[in-house]
Amino acid sequence: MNVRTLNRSFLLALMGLALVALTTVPAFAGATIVINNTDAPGVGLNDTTPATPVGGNPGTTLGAQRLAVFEFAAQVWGTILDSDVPIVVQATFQPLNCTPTSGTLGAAGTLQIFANFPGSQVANTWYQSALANKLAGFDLTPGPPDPGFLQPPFNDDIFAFFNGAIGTDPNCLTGLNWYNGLDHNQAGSDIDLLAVVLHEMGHGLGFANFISEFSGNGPLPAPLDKDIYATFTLDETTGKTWAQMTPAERVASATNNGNVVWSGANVTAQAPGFLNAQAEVVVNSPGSIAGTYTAQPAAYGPSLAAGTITADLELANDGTGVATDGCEPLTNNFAGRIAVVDRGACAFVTKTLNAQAAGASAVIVVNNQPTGLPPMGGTSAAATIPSIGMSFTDGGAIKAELGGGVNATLGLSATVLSGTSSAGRVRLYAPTAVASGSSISHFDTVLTPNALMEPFINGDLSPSTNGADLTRWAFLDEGWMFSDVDGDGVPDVDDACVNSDLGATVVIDGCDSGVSNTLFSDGCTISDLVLACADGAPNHGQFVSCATQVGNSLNGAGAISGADNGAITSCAAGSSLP
Amino acid sequence: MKRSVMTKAPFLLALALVLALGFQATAEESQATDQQQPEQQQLTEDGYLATSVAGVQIFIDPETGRMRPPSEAEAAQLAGAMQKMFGKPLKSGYAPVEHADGSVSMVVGADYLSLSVLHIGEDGQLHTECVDDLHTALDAIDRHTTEAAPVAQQDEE
Repeated sequence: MNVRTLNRSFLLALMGLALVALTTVPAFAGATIVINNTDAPGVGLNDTTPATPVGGNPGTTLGAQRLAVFEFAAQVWGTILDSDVPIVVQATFQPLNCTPTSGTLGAAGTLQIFANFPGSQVANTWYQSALANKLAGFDLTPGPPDPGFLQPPFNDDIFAFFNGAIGTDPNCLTGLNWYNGLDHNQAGSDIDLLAVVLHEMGHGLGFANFISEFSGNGPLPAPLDKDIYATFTLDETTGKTWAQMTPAERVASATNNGNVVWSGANVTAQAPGFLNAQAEVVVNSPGSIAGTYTAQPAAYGPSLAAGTITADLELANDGTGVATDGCEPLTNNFAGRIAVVDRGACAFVTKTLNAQAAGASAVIVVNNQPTGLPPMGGTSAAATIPSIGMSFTDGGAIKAELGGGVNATLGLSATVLSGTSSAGRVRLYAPTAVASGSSISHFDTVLTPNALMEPFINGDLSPSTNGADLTRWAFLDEGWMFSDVDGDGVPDVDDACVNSDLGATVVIDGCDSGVSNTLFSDGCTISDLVLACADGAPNHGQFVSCATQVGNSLNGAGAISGADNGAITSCAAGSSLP
Repeated sequence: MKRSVMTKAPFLLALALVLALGFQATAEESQATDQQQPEQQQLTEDGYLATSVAGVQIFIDPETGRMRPPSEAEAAQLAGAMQKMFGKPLKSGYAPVEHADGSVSMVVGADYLSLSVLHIGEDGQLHTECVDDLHTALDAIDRHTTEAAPVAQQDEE
């Protein structure tokens, strides 16, 4: 019998869920991701240095903890994605290039790429090994795991290496250590290994292209100069995808900031569920600059979702150095006004707290860099006024008019999401200078909240965002499928009942109530809810009471009729459950 | 039965990496000094566009935008980057293979990888970025080690 635990809050939430047609679809039972530990005994992933279990990681040696993080990340991706072919990740922890203040954390990539294979969905297009195997339905490079790191015959799919010198070599990122917990709960001086592994593994699974942003060239000359990622990399200015472009066009597109997007239908459709509304500054007067300007909300302080703020703007003056940077106590009285400060020289939080102390109702930080928005990072429980960042150009236009008076409204857009283009497509990272090497193969940094596959691995990732953000929908666009063990059409990562009873009618301990077994949008059926009552019920009476409550709630919500409710209660009462 | 599609493929891959190295180094230098400063380029006698990047000459066919084959010195520099990152040489530049069913496969080893690099800012904050090749990672490490953090980074949390 199919029985699981459902808490009461879930049951109440059920009342707000949409009903969906109960149709059985093929089940996809996840992917098996195997870690091929290529380290020698006693080192790296086999390091025997004693360690204390931390953050859900039960390992008692350094090596065991590191391996557990890899395996946990593999489990996360394996739960999200589906493949009949095991994915083998060869992994190693070894000393990598490092200095006391800077170093490589780790890396990953696909070992082999494939095009025009059986099951390939786009011709003359390269796919990462793991995805190619999934689409083919068999292992394109069968055989035992590779004997060592980056050693032939390359039967493995992904390689991953991480820096074993961190925390062991005092001259490598001095004072820092890997955090081996599985809960993203690292201290300030620790580096969240899980976040980095999840991110890099995501690249290896398909969130990366094989095209140089500097030359525009792919792995081979046309037609084999493009990859599946490029198929969905769209430049909205030219209307071409990177798969359709010449090398020269790709080079130009790589720096078309704000106009390079992911064109896949799944990511676009899911964006409203993941991204916040775009913060904006609406200049009300003077007319010469009136209009709506994009802004970056701060990670600290109250959200603009709580309401708009309309006020006159005033430039900060702290009387020290660059007087408009707001890094020292302000000499202005900002009562009832919005402070305008320039970025630079101190933390964003410092600027906000100084403006707040001077009576400001909000803060606008104007970028000191020619492109993009200030990142507006930081944490502060003391900040009680909202802060936003504006671009150098837009903020400069406002600053130029402050002498004559500027009135503006800070708020959230009703139509545009934070991180999408005006067409609603999610932006890819395309800074105006291809200097970081991060361009295109990441989501843009303007996404709010942050996504796993942004170029800067952010500290605000939580267990609930383990790859389950827009990244997985990009994988779906590329041809991956989601794991759906029970075949109810609700991906396991979204499914509150991953092993649903999908019978046509609600059957309780052999008693067919005749009630249509509705599937709700969270992946649970009426049978799931009723049968969950048996889990933990101390006696039959309590089971019947719980089942009756479920029936009453469903009836109250209009999901079933009174007669249906009676039929369920009758079957429950006649059963021998629990 | 497998046969090689392009015997020069390893060569082209190495080229692509060297090209990436060249342009990236240029971009990094440009950012550190004047972001709008144009590159100094000259046309060589054999028709290639020569650009000096971080002390390394690269040569581009102006019509196709592609690099000419790497010299021994350029190949050695690429191998050096591998050596520096891993502490041991790693092979780069593999040959594509065409299979009987019409599919094509290519071992790419570490040619296409993503690396996370971390540096500790002057303010003590940790800054993590993900880059997509060895050279950029090495450049970032060297830059953050030898230079002060850019002004733009000083107030980031």
